[in-house]
Amino acid sequence: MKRTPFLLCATFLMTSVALLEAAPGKKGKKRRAGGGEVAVPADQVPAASISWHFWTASSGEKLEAKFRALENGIVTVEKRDQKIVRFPIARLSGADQEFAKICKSAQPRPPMAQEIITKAAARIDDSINAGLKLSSTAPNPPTSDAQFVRRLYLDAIGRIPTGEEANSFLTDPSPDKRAKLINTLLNSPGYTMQMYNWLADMLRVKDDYGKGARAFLYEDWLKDQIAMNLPWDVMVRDMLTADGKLNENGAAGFLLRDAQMPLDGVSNLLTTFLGANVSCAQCHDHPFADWSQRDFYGMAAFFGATDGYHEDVYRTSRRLVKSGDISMANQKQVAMLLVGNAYNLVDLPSNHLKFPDDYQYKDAKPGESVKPELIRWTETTKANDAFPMDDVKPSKLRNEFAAWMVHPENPRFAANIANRVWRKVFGIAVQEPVSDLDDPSQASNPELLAQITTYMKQAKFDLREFQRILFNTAAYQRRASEAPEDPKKFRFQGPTLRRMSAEQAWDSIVTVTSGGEADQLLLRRGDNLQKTVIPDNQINAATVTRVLAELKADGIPMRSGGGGKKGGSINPRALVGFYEGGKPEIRSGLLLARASELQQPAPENHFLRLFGQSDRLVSDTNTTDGSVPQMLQLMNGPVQEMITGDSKALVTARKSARPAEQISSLYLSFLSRQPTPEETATATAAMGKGLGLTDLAWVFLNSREFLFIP
Amino acid sequence: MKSDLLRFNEISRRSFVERMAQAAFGLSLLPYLPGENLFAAEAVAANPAVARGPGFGKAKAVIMLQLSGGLSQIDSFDPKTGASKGPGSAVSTKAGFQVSSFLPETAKVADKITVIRSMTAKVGVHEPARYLMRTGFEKRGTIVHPTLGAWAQNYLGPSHPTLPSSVCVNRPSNHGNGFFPATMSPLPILDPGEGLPHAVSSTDASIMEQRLALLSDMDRKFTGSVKDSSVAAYNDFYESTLRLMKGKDLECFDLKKEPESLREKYGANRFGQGCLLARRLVEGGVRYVEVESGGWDMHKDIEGGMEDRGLEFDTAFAALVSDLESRGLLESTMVVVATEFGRKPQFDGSGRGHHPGVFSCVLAGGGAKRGYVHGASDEAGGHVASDPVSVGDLHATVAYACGMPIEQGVMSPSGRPFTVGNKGKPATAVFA
Repeated sequence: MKRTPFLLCATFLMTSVALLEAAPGKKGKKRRAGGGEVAVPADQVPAASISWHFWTASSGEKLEAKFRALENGIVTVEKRDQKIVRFPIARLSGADQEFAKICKSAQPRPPMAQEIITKAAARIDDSINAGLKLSSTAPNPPTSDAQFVRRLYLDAIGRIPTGEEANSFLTDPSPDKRAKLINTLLNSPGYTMQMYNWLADMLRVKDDYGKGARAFLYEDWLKDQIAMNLPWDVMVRDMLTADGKLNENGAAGFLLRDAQMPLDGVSNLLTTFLGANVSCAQCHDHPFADWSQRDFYGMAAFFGATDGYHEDVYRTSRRLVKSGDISMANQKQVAMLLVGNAYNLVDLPSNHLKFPDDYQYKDAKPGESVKPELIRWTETTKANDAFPMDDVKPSKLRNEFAAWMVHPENPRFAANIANRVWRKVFGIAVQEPVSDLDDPSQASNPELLAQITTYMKQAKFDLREFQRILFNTAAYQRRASEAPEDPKKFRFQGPTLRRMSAEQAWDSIVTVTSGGEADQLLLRRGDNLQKTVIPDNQINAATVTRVLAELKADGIPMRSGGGGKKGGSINPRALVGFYEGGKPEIRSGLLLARASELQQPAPENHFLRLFGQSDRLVSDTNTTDGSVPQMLQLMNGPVQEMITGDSKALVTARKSARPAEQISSLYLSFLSRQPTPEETATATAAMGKGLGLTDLAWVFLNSREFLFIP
Repeated sequence: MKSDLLRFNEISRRSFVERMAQAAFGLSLLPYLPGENLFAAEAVAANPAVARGPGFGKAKAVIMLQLSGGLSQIDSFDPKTGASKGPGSAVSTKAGFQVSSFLPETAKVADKITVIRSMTAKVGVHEPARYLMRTGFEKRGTIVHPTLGAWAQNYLGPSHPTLPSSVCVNRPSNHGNGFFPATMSPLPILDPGEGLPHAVSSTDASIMEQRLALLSDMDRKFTGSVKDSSVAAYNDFYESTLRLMKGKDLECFDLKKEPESLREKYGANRFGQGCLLARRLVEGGVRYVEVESGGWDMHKDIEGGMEDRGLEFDTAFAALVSDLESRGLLESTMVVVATEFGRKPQFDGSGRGHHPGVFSCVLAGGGAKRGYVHGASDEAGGHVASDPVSVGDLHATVAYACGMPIEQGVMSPSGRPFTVGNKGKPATAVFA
């Protein structure tokens, strides 16, 4: 599968202009051909970005590679072996930081002008205000700067600000400081981490696909796409059309996730990408909605020629051991090696999907072959540009499906992602649940849903620009409200009051412990996986033995996990040379890295899981409910050890001489605000009675104010 | 109190949450007052319409064994011959019914259990099916339903002064309180061998006391200005956690207090140890314990799966039933074997697909008949032949065994009426 992300830049050129036009998606646009990107003519590609360059790290290390992108403070390059590598720009020498910026400036991909952003935000506010008026709801008062800085850091880069960062915002007198902070944060490495966490919950990203088959390359691929800020439609299309093995092509990891249950996979992807509530229709006509089982099978047939899991490849391991060609002692390693090769996305010569044996409706017979057919939602969409499709060769079924799915005129694709990003920012989607967009008139504010759908299309599915708009709305910058029991009744008088997500809480604790450093630590685990690829026609004792020996010689262990039971350790080879800027520290048995860089999902006993990180079996299952083990973790567990040990927050506070300054420093580090005089008095009094700064740190960690975002 | 329950749509959500938090024992700010369960079964006495036949209220505790992924009924409790036969064979038991040869230990306790072979549902997708089995309701995007443990806590009050009323083992606490307050959600124990981690105070008692006093002072401004039920629930969790840390009941969570020989008997794996922990917790006063076992989605290689997961289940289940019996707890403890759905009668030589149309569940103890089969599947094992039992019916059956007023509805905070088991009918024939 070819991917030429850099060439997509041209699609951004028109973004700014388009937002000024009122009318969404004009008729008569040509459907994108095949894979569908618009190429920049070769003579317009800046010279710097196509030539090889020796990149020098501030530590002196060198790496030869081509520039690919500089987004979010992360440089992405491609090495001679075509591997994509990314690292924080801060790790480069001063000269190469400049060079990266020159490469970037040559890319025809300017961000949207602030004027456009402000205008779009204002129009969204108009729609929200109209909705508020209809329901006679008053808008919430605006947030204080302290509330804003904390909320925006959490929503944009997934962690609270350090005391220093909070203070510099609070003391900045400039009137446009909020918009400036939005721009700064959206262009920093933490944005990539935050987005990855969000996607990982939605796409059910996990390290292990079973029997030790590892999906590290898929995880790295997702991070690459976010780091290069590739548009959502391109990402989704690439996932749906990828070919190849799990240990070879990261993009294939999405469909391979459900290779053992392909029908569930189709149901999941329709729900995730289109908000189509089809899971019931997999087995019978939907009892309430319009989905028939036949509709479901028609859609599933686009994946009917695709095969993902090849049990015969995996079973070879048993055969090799039984035949005596491989020693019993190596059985587990061989099985793990081969299972990675057994996950291989290929298209067969024919579509083999048939109606199930218990099919009970008159529109088809059990066992009959299923003809691929697109769903339409309403009759009027039939004339839609996204729909026309000729007879499709089995090998092209997925490509056709993907082209339809991500087409701007697909009735649900843009609405679905706009609605989901809205929920990420405001806490509740315009239409709930996000898994059911079948009837957009059910949205709490249908006009608002239509409007953000239009903006998503006009932003060319650039999720970062779309969020820039949302963060700039007055509605986002108001105080939070309690989420109502029935989310349909919420009118966005402000965002909803939320507990930090598991990832936000963990990443904030890491920040309090070690400062913002963890943002610069991009761990990669997929690099070694490509060494485990064995072509299907070479799966025999000799090759398997050779590959195992090579892996051993390279010091690459063939064992599952790689993070230890508590997530404290991680394969040191995850940190490879060039971008090894700083090794992650381990404190109280926990690796001080951002959640996005740890095991996926984290081990069950890890802070992240106790605080509601999804087990990644089902989409969108992160939770923020409380529990007794959470309290025990905060009161007595390893995170309070980290915080009360020599955490960055404590070290910073101790630099001040006077207790009042120390107290104020801790308030900034933990709560992103200055204490009131009463609070200073209370804390000073407690310190006079024998409590120390470490006790104060413990109290902050255990406070409701730390965990909840007002 | 019952009248208040029925007038929930007239009182505010805030009031609802406060009342429920008070009712939720182990998790309330009020001292424990035995006999003063705010939503207790007294409502039943006042409502003569509620049927109280044999078995009603016999189960003081429930242990729900949830086999996630879909237990193949034919390869476990409903063996078939002919085309549907799987890799195992049918073995006879002294109870007169047969089970699969994959369950030799269970066969030995067949005379203590009731097998329901006529379970039926319409949901064949994992997550919604698991949800249905946990809650008795089909999954909806608009509301989250409570588990049986939360229903019981609602109707019967807390089961113990300091211990939680519900615990779930080997899984996180999602699918818990539903529309009841978060304080009714189960306490999750992710690794039964580790018990309840970090339950010992991280610093000495006097410092801890000062820290807590300061915490309460310093957080007052925030908790006072923010009106939010989830913040309030966190306040309650702190209170209950502190009470638990101070109490002596922590030992209930410690499997090291069990003799090594018994631990081995349950099986040296998470499910086996989880079953043993469930028995300890029930003995200590926890009312509702769910133990999850994963890996039952046997699309391929049922034989390998049953030799692996099946063996773990067989060992642990038989050990649990025998252990409860020998301690005199089986009559007051209902063990339920539940799963997501069954598997297809069509055996492709390796595995079977999802099949919600008919499957098997098991009840042991808590008033259920001994050595009894309820309902039947047809010859192929594809459809219910007699006495169908829906998942809602199963919930109503267990709720009835616990003495819950199953016909009495509650109003959710959003003003929608619900009953335990979604108006399911208890299968009273299973009670002795």
